[in-house]
Amino acid sequence: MERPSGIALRHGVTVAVSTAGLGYALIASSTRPFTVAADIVTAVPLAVALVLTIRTMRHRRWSYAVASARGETDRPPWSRRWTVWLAPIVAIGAWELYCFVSVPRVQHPTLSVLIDSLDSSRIGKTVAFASWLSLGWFLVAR
Amino acid sequence: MIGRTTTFVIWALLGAALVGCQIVAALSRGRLPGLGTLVKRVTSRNIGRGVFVLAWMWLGWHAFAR
Repeated sequence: MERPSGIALRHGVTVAVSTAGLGYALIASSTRPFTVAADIVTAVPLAVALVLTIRTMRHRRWSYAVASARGETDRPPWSRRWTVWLAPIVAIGAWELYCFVSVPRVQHPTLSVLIDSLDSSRIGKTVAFASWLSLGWFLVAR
Repeated sequence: MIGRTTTFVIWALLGAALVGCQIVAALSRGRLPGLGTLVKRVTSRNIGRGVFVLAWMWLGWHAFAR
Protein backbone atom coordinates (compact mmCIF):
# COMPACT_ATOMS: atom_id res chain seq x y z
CA MET A 1 0.00 0.00 0.00
CA GLU A 2 1.28 3.47 -0.92
CA ARG A 3 2.00 5.84 1.97
CA PRO A 4 0.20 9.23 1.87
CA SER A 5 2.34 12.21 0.85
CA GLY A 6 3.12 15.03 3.29
CA ILE A 7 0.51 17.35 1.75
CA ALA A 8 -2.20 14.66 1.78
CA LEU A 9 -1.38 13.82 5.40
CA ARG A 10 -1.50 17.49 6.41
CA HIS A 11 -4.82 17.91 4.57
CA GLY A 12 -6.20 14.85 6.37
CA VAL A 13 -5.09 16.18 9.76
CA THR A 14 -6.68 19.58 9.00
CA VAL A 15 -10.01 17.99 8.02
CA ALA A 16 -9.98 15.74 11.10
CA VAL A 17 -9.13 18.60 13.49
CA SER A 18 -11.73 20.91 11.88
CA THR A 19 -14.45 18.26 12.17
CA ALA A 20 -13.52 17.52 15.78
CA GLY A 21 -13.42 21.24 16.58
CA LEU A 22 -16.83 21.84 15.06
CA GLY A 23 -18.28 18.88 16.96
CA TYR A 24 -16.72 20.14 20.19
CA ALA A 25 -18.08 23.66 19.53
CA LEU A 26 -21.55 22.16 19.05
CA ILE A 27 -21.27 20.42 22.44
CA ALA A 28 -19.90 23.61 24.05
CA SER A 29 -22.84 25.62 22.65
CA SER A 30 -25.23 23.58 24.81
CA THR A 31 -23.61 24.88 28.00
CA ARG A 32 -24.35 28.13 29.80
CA PRO A 33 -21.75 30.44 31.40
CA PHE A 34 -21.28 30.25 35.17
CA THR A 35 -21.96 26.50 35.24
CA VAL A 36 -19.58 23.61 35.92
CA ALA A 37 -20.28 22.20 32.45
CA ALA A 38 -19.18 25.47 30.82
CA ASP A 39 -16.07 25.56 33.02
CA ILE A 40 -15.07 22.01 32.01
CA VAL A 41 -15.81 22.39 28.31
CA THR A 42 -13.74 25.62 28.20
CA ALA A 43 -10.94 24.34 30.43
CA VAL A 44 -10.14 21.30 28.23
CA PRO A 45 -8.89 23.32 25.20
CA LEU A 46 -7.09 25.67 27.59
CA ALA A 47 -5.20 22.76 29.15
CA VAL A 48 -4.33 21.28 25.75
CA ALA A 49 -3.12 24.68 24.49
CA LEU A 50 -1.05 25.23 27.63
CA VAL A 51 0.71 21.85 27.30
CA LEU A 52 1.40 22.34 23.57
CA THR A 53 2.66 25.90 24.10
CA ILE A 54 5.03 24.95 26.93
CA ARG A 55 6.35 22.03 24.87
CA THR A 56 6.92 24.25 21.81
CA MET A 57 8.56 27.00 23.85
CA ARG A 58 10.97 24.56 25.49
CA HIS A 59 11.84 23.03 22.13
CA ARG A 60 12.36 26.49 20.63
CA ARG A 61 14.61 27.56 23.48
CA TRP A 62 16.77 24.52 22.81
CA SER A 63 16.76 25.21 19.04
CA TYR A 64 17.63 28.85 19.68
CA ALA A 65 20.57 27.82 21.85
CA VAL A 66 21.86 25.54 19.06
CA ALA A 67 21.36 28.26 16.39
CA SER A 68 22.96 30.83 18.67
CA ALA A 69 26.06 28.66 19.00
CA ARG A 70 26.25 28.56 15.20
CA GLY A 71 25.62 32.33 14.86
CA GLU A 72 22.36 31.78 12.91
CA THR A 73 19.91 33.69 15.10
CA ASP A 74 19.50 36.84 12.99
CA ARG A 75 15.91 37.66 12.07
CA PRO A 76 14.78 40.31 9.54
CA PRO A 77 14.01 43.66 11.24
CA TRP A 78 10.52 45.12 11.48
CA SER A 79 9.85 47.35 8.47
CA ARG A 80 7.44 50.24 7.89
CA ARG A 81 5.00 48.01 5.96
CA TRP A 82 3.91 46.47 9.27
CA THR A 83 2.55 49.85 10.42
CA VAL A 84 -0.52 49.36 8.20
CA TRP A 85 -1.97 47.37 11.12
CA LEU A 86 -1.06 49.91 13.77
CA ALA A 87 -3.96 52.34 13.13
CA PRO A 88 -6.87 49.82 13.24
CA ILE A 89 -5.43 47.94 16.22
CA VAL A 90 -4.81 51.12 18.25
CA ALA A 91 -8.27 52.46 17.26
CA ILE A 92 -9.99 49.25 18.42
CA GLY A 93 -8.04 49.30 21.69
CA ALA A 94 -8.89 52.96 22.30
CA TRP A 95 -12.59 52.46 21.49
CA GLU A 96 -12.79 49.39 23.76
CA LEU A 97 -11.20 51.43 26.56
CA TYR A 98 -13.62 54.32 26.00
CA CYS A 99 -16.64 51.97 26.09
CA PHE A 100 -15.24 50.17 29.14
CA VAL A 101 -14.96 53.34 31.24
CA SER A 102 -18.25 54.84 30.00
CA VAL A 103 -21.58 54.22 31.68
CA PRO A 104 -24.23 52.98 31.35
CA ARG A 105 -22.98 49.79 29.71
CA VAL A 106 -26.15 49.44 27.65
CA GLN A 107 -25.27 52.73 25.90
CA HIS A 108 -21.60 51.79 25.46
CA PRO A 109 -21.34 48.08 24.66
CA THR A 110 -17.80 46.68 24.87
CA LEU A 111 -16.48 43.76 22.81
CA SER A 112 -17.53 41.43 25.65
CA VAL A 113 -21.13 42.62 25.33
CA LEU A 114 -21.01 42.08 21.56
CA ILE A 115 -19.68 38.54 22.10
CA ASP A 116 -22.41 37.90 24.72
CA SER A 117 -25.02 38.93 22.13
CA LEU A 118 -23.53 36.44 19.68
CA ASP A 119 -23.50 33.75 22.40
CA SER A 120 -27.19 34.22 23.17
CA SER A 121 -28.24 31.89 20.33
CA ARG A 122 -27.13 28.26 19.90
CA ILE A 123 -25.81 28.79 16.37
CA GLY A 124 -24.07 32.03 17.36
CA LYS A 125 -22.32 30.33 20.25
CA THR A 126 -21.29 27.40 18.03
CA VAL A 127 -19.75 29.84 15.52
CA ALA A 128 -18.06 31.88 18.29
CA PHE A 129 -16.65 28.78 20.03
CA ALA A 130 -15.46 27.25 16.75
CA SER A 131 -13.78 30.55 15.79
CA TRP A 132 -12.09 30.70 19.20
CA LEU A 133 -10.87 27.10 18.82
CA SER A 134 -9.51 27.74 15.33
CA LEU A 135 -7.68 30.85 16.56
CA GLY A 136 -6.14 28.73 19.32
CA TRP A 137 -5.16 26.04 16.82
CA PHE A 138 -3.52 28.72 14.64
CA LEU A 139 -1.54 29.96 17.66
CA VAL A 140 -0.32 26.68 19.11
CA ALA A 141 -0.04 24.23 16.20
CA ARG A 142 2.98 25.71 14.46
CA MET B 1 -22.84 62.11 24.55
CA ILE B 2 -22.44 59.11 22.26
CA GLY B 3 -25.53 56.91 22.01
CA ARG B 4 -25.93 53.15 21.69
CA THR B 5 -26.52 53.25 17.93
CA THR B 6 -23.45 55.40 17.33
CA THR B 7 -21.38 53.01 19.44
CA PHE B 8 -22.53 50.06 17.29
CA VAL B 9 -21.81 52.03 14.09
CA ILE B 10 -18.28 52.79 15.28
CA TRP B 11 -17.73 49.12 16.16
CA ALA B 12 -18.95 48.17 12.68
CA LEU B 13 -16.61 50.73 11.08
CA LEU B 14 -13.65 49.41 13.08
CA GLY B 15 -14.51 45.84 12.05
CA ALA B 16 -14.78 46.99 8.42
CA ALA B 17 -11.39 48.71 8.72
CA LEU B 18 -9.81 45.43 9.88
CA VAL B 19 -11.41 43.49 7.02
CA GLY B 20 -10.41 46.28 4.59
CA CYS B 21 -6.77 46.14 5.71
CA GLN B 22 -6.80 42.36 5.29
CA ILE B 23 -8.22 42.67 1.75
CA VAL B 24 -5.65 45.32 0.82
CA ALA B 25 -2.89 43.07 2.19
CA ALA B 26 -4.20 40.09 0.20
CA LEU B 27 -4.39 42.14 -3.01
CA SER B 28 -0.90 43.58 -2.51
CA ARG B 29 0.67 40.20 -3.41
CA GLY B 30 3.02 40.11 -0.46
CA ARG B 31 4.02 43.78 -0.37
CA LEU B 32 1.87 44.33 2.75
CA PRO B 33 1.61 41.66 5.45
CA GLY B 34 -1.79 40.22 6.38
CA LEU B 35 -3.05 39.83 9.92
CA GLY B 36 -2.04 36.15 9.91
CA THR B 37 1.50 37.08 8.87
CA LEU B 38 1.62 39.67 11.64
CA VAL B 39 0.51 37.12 14.25
CA LYS B 40 3.03 34.56 12.92
CA ARG B 41 5.78 37.17 13.12
CA VAL B 42 4.92 38.13 16.71
CA THR B 43 4.53 34.51 17.84
CA SER B 44 7.83 33.49 16.24
CA ARG B 45 9.41 34.54 19.54
CA ASN B 46 8.58 32.73 22.75
CA ILE B 47 7.52 35.89 24.57
CA GLY B 48 5.10 36.83 21.76
CA ARG B 49 3.66 33.34 21.61
CA GLY B 50 3.23 33.27 25.39
CA VAL B 51 1.41 36.61 25.44
CA PHE B 52 -0.89 35.68 22.54
CA VAL B 53 -1.75 32.27 23.99
CA LEU B 54 -2.49 33.81 27.41
CA ALA B 55 -4.70 36.44 25.75
CA TRP B 56 -6.51 33.68 23.83
CA MET B 57 -7.01 31.70 27.04
CA TRP B 58 -8.39 34.74 28.86
CA LEU B 59 -10.75 35.51 25.95
CA GLY B 60 -12.19 31.98 25.96
CA TRP B 61 -12.63 31.85 29.73
CA HIS B 62 -14.20 35.32 29.78
CA ALA B 63 -16.54 34.67 26.85
CA PHE B 64 -17.67 31.10 27.48
CA ALA B 65 -17.12 30.19 31.13
CA ARG B 66 -17.34 33.28 33.35
